[in-house]
Parts: sequence; structure tokens; C-alpha cells
Amino acid sequence: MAGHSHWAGIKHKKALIDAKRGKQWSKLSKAIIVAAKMGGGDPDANNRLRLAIDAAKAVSMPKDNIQRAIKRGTGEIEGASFEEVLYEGYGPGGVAILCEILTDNRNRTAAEIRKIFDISDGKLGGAGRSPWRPAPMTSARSRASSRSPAPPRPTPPFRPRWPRPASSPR
Amino acid sequence: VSEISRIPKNTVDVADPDTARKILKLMNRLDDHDDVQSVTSNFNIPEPVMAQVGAEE
Repeated sequence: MAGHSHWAGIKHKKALIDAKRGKQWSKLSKAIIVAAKMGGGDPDANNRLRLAIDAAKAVSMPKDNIQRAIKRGTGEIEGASFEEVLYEGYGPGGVAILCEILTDNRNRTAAEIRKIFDISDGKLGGAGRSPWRPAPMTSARSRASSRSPAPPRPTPPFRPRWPRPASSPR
Repeated sequence: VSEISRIPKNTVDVADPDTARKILKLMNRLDDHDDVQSVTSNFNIPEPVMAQVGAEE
């Protein structure tokens, strides 16, 4: 009866989930590192850092990891430095695809991204350095502002909390 | 939560389910790469085609 414990079944599922989450966290911490490097380690003064931290917290990234990423960005902890690159390519059917990339080694990433495009019937264009061709996608807008604002809620009638009405239980 | 996102100025319609599937696969592969922060594209898959692609998975 080997391998019939509860854990023996769970560990395969857990390994899969852990790998996925680790990948997500490493992406998010990269975003934090770059944000902290560009605008300083104070989220109140650095909007980009605040957004990156919010995104990390949304997927329950531990506080320690977030702090470490900020320190790596500000230079308190040594680590690889990242640069931002924008890759433009074309996918099947001629659709344009834009990749935002943070990499510590541009040459390695370029080769890997090119390979992904190649095996998927796509074609990698320039690495965001093609000023002679207007970018296919340039406009950016806040997602929140595109929605119409919610109508104001009606003010509830005033009800004093104290003293409690005699009729209320407890 | 508000965020800055890229909105295509002009889109490309993809009416062929096979092509649509290939594009989505490519997008997923790119997104799975460790160094990629975000992937944006300007394809537009019409609802019926998308329903067909989604139903097969």
C-alpha cells in the first residue's frame, strides 16, 4: 500500500500550483524592482511602485518578497539589473503582437522570444526600436476612467445609534 | 483598480477558428515566458468563432 497517503495524492497537484505561482511572483517582483529603481522605494511617492505592489498583494505575494524586491530596486540588496524592452511581432493572420519585457539579459530573451514566435507561425519584428514605423498600438487609457461613474447613492435617513430605541432587542 | 493598458487603434478581424486558436496559443506561450510582463495584440475574434474555439477546449 505504498503511496496511498493523502499527501501522496496532493503533492502532485501542489507542485503544479506552486510552480505557476512562483512564476507569477517572479514576474511581479521584477516589476517592483524596476519601479523602485526608477522612482524610489516609497510607494506613496512612486505611483508605479504602488501599482506594482497592489498587483503583488492581489495574488497574495508575501510581504517579505515585496520588501526584498523594493530593496533590490533601490540598491540596498545586490542583484541583477533589469531593463525594459518592447518587442513587436506578427502572429498568424497578420495580427500585431506587442510584448512588454523586463530582462536582465537582452540577448537571451530575444532568442527565446523569437523562438516562440517561430514555432507559432509568427514573426518577431524589431525590439521596440523601429521609429520609422508607427507602433500599431500607442494609445493608453485608464481602465477605470473608461467606465461611467456610478450614480450617487441616496442618503439613508438619519437614525441615532444611541440611545437605542426601547423596542430593539438587546 | 485602475491601470494603464494598451488599446489598439485599429483591429484585425480573425474569422478562421484555426488561426484564432494559433493566435491564442502564441499569446499564451509568450505570457508564460519568465521575462514577459504583458502581451497585447490587436486581433478581434468575433463571438461565434470564439464560442467555437472555446467549446473545443
